[in-house]
Amino acid sequence: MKYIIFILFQVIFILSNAQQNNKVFVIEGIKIISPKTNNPNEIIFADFVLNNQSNQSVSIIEIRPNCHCTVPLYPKNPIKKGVKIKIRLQTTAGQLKEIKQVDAVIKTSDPTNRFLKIQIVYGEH
Amino acid sequence: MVKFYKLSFCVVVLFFGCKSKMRYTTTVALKNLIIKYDTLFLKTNNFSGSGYFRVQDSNILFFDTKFFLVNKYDLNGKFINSYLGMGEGGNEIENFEFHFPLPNKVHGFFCSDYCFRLYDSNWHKISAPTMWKWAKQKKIYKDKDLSIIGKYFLNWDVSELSTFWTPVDSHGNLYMPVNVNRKNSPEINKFEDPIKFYKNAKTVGKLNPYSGKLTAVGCFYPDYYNKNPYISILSNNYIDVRNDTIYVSYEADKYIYLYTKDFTFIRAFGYEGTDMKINYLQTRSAEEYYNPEVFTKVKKSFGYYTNIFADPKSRFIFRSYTTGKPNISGLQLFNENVLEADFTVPRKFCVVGSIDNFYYADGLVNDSTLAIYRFKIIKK
Repeated sequence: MKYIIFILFQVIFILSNAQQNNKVFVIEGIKIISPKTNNPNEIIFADFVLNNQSNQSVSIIEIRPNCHCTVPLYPKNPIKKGVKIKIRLQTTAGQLKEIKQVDAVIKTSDPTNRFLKIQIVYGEH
Repeated sequence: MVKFYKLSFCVVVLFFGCKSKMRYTTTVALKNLIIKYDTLFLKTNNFSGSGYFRVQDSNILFFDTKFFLVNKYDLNGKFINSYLGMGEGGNEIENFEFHFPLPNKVHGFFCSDYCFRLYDSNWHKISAPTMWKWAKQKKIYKDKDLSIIGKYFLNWDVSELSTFWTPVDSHGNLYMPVNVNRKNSPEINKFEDPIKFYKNAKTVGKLNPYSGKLTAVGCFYPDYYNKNPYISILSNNYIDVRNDTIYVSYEADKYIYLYTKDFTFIRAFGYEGTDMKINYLQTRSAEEYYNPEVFTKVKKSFGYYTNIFADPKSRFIFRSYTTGKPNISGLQLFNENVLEADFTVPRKFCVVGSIDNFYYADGLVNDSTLAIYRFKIIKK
């Protein structure tokens, strides 16, 4: 009985990975940052990894932050299949402290995963 | 308090206000009712962690307020399809905040760029965005006259518990909370001369979603705010419309106010929620009001009323409230002006509709969970 349950878990694990591996996704979509500065205008940022595990090249159509204080930086060329790229989200220390979190929506050309969210959360010291 | 629930009693309070001649009628007749709910977890592969629910035509709809998707589920929680999504195509939408159903199965959206966008029943864009006419309003009013319609803006100051409920009357008019903007009206607003403000300001706007025009404002603040003018953080209202009667409930006031669609007062009724912490923190300046820490503290530590739902299929009115405790909220059930039950429910439990024998309440929504509550009210 234990053996059957073990096999079942393995199958579920493989299937869930297979599903993840057929699309574009963000590795660790939430980053917690505790700014160590007292200057509210100091730029802080977090880097996110976008992994294209779909079967084709994927383009980032748009990255839209939730506020004007947040800027996304990313390569504009299509991302070939199997390739990871870095997306940087930057904001100011003061803004992050005040609104506690900033985020951005990534719109991709991958029909199975059109939208992804990346987020910086303010962490107390 | 336990005895309170066990007893069935009747209290009728009738009095006439001297100034406004408002009539307040409240009957409490608690029945031996219990709420039996389950949590329907919904699966989706594209979900941002923010949004609200509607129930429509035997389906559950989730409006994702970051991806701007509408995800459709059957009543067992099975995903059916996804519509719209952030974009400029004919089947996409630039952004949205409030959704409202218009006649002829048209989907209306009020958006964060102050535009109305209309879609047909297949989610195809019908018309170019119509800008809300007041959005570009730059006029500064130097007087204290609060009857001027141009002074009013939509009140975006919604609670974290809001379901973005935007009721529509039989003619397709929308009813939304309004407020006076302190930039356009520096002489009188919630912070400058609050006593005069709460006495004379109006709280509900009637909008035409086809023209983008605010056609009327009505509904004065209740006496409660005249007596307590320094609890501005809890001065928002929640509106529903049933048979062209407007129901308005305010965060800090126990009464629900009924008006005709032309804003003529009909009557008021209401009863305090159970175990609400109501010794509210006062804020006497705009700086305090806009301080996020003060704002969050007030919203989390005190009990206040939130969404109101006037069931179109019965005489029931549901009103949700928080208690000030982290995970305990309340749900009042009125049968017309009679309070029949007061249930303990999870933190966000706002009724958004009914299908067959079930009511549905919004909901459990965060980065990892998407779930709607489904409930029945039964006799003990």
